[in-house]
Amino acid sequence: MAQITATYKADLAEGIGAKSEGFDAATVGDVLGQIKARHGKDTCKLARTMLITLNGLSIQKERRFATRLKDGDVVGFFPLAAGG
Amino acid sequence: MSGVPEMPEAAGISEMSKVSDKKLALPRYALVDLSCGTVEPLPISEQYYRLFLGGKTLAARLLLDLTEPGIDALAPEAVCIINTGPLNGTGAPSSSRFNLSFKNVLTGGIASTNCGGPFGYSLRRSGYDGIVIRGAAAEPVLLEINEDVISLRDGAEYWGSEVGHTQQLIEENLGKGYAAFIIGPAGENLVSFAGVASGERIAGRCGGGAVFGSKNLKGLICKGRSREIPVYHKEGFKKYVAKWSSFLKAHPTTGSALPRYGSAGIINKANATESLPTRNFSRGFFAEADKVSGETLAETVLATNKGCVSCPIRCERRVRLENDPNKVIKGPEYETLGLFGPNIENSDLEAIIKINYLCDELGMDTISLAGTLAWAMELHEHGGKDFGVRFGDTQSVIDLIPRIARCEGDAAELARGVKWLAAQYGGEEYAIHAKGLELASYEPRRSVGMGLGYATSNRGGCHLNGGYLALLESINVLSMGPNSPAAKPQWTAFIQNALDAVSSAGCCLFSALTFIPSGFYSLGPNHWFVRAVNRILLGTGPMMSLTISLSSALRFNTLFLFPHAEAARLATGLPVYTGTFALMGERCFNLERLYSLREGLSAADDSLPRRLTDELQDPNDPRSVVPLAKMLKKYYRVRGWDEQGVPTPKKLRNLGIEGGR
Repeated sequence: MAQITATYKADLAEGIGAKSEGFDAATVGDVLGQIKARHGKDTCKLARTMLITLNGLSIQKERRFATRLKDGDVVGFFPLAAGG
Repeated sequence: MSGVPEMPEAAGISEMSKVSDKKLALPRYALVDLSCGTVEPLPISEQYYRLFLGGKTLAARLLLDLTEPGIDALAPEAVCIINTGPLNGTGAPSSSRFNLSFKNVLTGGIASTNCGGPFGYSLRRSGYDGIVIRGAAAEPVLLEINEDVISLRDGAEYWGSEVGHTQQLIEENLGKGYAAFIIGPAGENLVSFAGVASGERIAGRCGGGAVFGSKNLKGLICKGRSREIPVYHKEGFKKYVAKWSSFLKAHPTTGSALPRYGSAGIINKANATESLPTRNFSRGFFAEADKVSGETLAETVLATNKGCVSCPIRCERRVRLENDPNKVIKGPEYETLGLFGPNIENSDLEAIIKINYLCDELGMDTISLAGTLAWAMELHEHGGKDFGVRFGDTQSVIDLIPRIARCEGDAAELARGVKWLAAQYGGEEYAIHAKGLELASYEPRRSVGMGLGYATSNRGGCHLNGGYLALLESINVLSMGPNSPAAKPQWTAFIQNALDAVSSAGCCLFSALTFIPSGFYSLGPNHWFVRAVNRILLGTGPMMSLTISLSSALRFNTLFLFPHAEAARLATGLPVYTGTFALMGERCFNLERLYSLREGLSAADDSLPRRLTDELQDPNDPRSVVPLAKMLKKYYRVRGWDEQGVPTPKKLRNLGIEGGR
């Protein structure tokens, strides 16, 4: 298990009522599991559909939800849709 | 004036001719000669209307018809065209956009710029659909359109004033009710990337402001209230517009992300996919990007959002300055945040807001200016000339901007743009432009289709004219092989055509962002289905080639793909369908290409700086460059162009645009 910080934006931050939280988690999937336990199924569903980053970079480049975490990592949840 | 020649019949057009019993409302254009102060009607034939509709497509045709080859962009003989499309002012969603076309000051090819704000709506309500301007006045003038009367006014009092002050003076002197389309000091001083402002929106790219300045034209002012804007099928149009507006409001991008974060919402997505230009495009990731993101802007300085006339998206940011909280001003767009943020290694949001405000007031394009300054910063680090700006030092930038706009001392050289500067001082490999126009804020080494788009865009390094593949590759829900060239030539050509058509209809390109189905956002980018779609898209090249070549056969309209086509059909009475609409966009892209080729550009100009094609973004990833040569060859074939990038006679015949100058 690694001690990490999750940061939230937009609807997720509003739903949770905080911009960040600490977790002990081995993977991004673990973080999502703990979000579900702490804040409910709907909040977890919203988090899963967001842009998820590890230290700023998308987990799509890594192993997605199986991406492994280490102490001090920051897992970010950002709103997805954008254009301009 | 030289007349506009008759054109042969094009694919899909003969069917159009069969339709109407009711009379079509042909566009009404005026030709103004500033040298002799004359105004005369410029008839637009029914055939031209059917083929070119309006906006940038019709403007490209007229530029080819009305100008001799080889005229300098700033010569009196140069022509600029301010025109609208058939949806402008009809109440259709996001339909306040109008077009400004002219010879590109930075590239020497075509320029068309699309602008919001109040001017386009006012022009259409005045009774005119387009104004064509040639010649140069002996003294500064304002061109006044008061309902359907066009005249010239003395502009000396306004010359030298910044944009906001000029608008204020016009209101004080002439009363309320005028919409202005004016330049600031940058245009007057012929800065190569000066723009023209409509309210707080600016037709920023390619130097249209310098063209106005070269003609001693401070701008156009328009009072238009009397004309009822023609709509052919009124009841059907009204119902369709209501349905379309609801669709836009329900879509995650146009109904939620853009109203909430504006285009600034892209910052964190581009950063997460390493496609956020950082340190003059040497990287695609900036550790402090979130400090200048749309989300941070919304949490800290956002006062409210605002939209143009009849726009349900309301993407404009209205922000407060920290030291003057009572003053609310227009906030920066994504391009400005990216290029005056990470690309100059700056994370000070307040500084970007100030820079944006300065540029708007002086009338300058933030994209080209930022690209030029980033090059100057890097040049100094390589031991080259010192223009006094440094990465991370925003005060040096803020101090220099007014000097560039007024062409003072060395700053006058920076007013020429990065291509000219690199030719004088070196650093061409990191002079980030295409055809001479500085690149927008997408790092194409992690969005290679966007790289192809930059290289082939008719006006130069523009994401929108380039097909905006970043939307499919890196900044939204899809992730269509960001480093794979597969299917990119086909998708680039297809979307380039589509966006040209949307623009010609008079709509904002943001209204086209709904083509990504809403359902994808409910699943998210890591869902197996969305990942499967990403893979499938890479195999759609042949299908897209077929779609482009057989587009005239697509005789249907859907709210999902081109809502604009059905709206244009109902507004004009012409049988506009998905296929004919896309074909009109293809006609536009080819006409603009023909103009640029005529003016001396060639396949050699479909290029990118070596940094993006030869230097790996990630030294450990051999795919982290733009494989331009490979994509370009295929792109020419998809477009029906020869190996030199010249449209073949067959292609021109199919599009109905052979002949002419």
